Amino acid sequence: MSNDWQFPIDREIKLYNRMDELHRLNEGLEVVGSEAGWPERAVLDLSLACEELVVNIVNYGFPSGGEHPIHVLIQASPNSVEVMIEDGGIPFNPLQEADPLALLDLELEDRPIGGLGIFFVKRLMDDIHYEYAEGLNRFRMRKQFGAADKNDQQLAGGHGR
Amino acid sequence: MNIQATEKNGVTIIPLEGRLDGSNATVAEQAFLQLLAEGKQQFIFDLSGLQYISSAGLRVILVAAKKLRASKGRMVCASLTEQVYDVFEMSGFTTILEMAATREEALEKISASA
Repeated sequence: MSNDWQFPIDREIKLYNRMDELHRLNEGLEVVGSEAGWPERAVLDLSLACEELVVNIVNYGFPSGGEHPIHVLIQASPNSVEVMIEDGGIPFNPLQEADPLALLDLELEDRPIGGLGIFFVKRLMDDIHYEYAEGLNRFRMRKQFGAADKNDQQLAGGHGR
Repeated sequence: MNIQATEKNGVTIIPLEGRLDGSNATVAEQAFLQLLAEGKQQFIFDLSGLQYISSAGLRVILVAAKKLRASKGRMVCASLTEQVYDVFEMSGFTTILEMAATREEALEKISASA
């Protein structure tokens, strides 16, 4: 992980495994974003990546039910962010799922509902890492803002409607 | 999300505002299904006020599109903001869904082929 001087903001958002916690997740990210001076779009992209991972944990992490914490740790600088998401649910490596590239070209009738969340995380973040240790799923991801996006298609896509 | 659908020229307009995410996608889906159950078959999703959509929100759009395709209904997504457009594009939705730059253009599209 990184040195403190690179990330002046160090924040923890503690959530529970419920969908309504997405409000607090988003509020927390907006606060960090405004303190760090991120562009609005960077906050939305990070919000999407975090939501998809947290929703996965809420939906599949605790099949026997009950209330369980999900820790979201954010280290932020004006032009970069590192997020670590930890949960004590069943071991699940979201990166093992194959990208749904073949599905993207299917006709409406044949498109399955769902399966896009982790694909979004991979597309939006620069660097992602999963490990299971000491009974915890630990997902880490990193994003550099400002510089040219590795995702050329996103930039070229724009609003060409 | 508080959804207030309106009707114009027989087309049901559903404005979605703020964020469509895992915490409110079910509410939006129920609102659509209720209108469908009332017999509505032509829809415009007005997304001009929608700042953010996640995969849970996309699910609502896809469910609506599939139901209307099956019932020979119609839907157009209008006025996508930047993040919503990019998420649609990442998902391949821009090629399988009908889209319009404005609500008026969406209305014209539907009435032209009615």
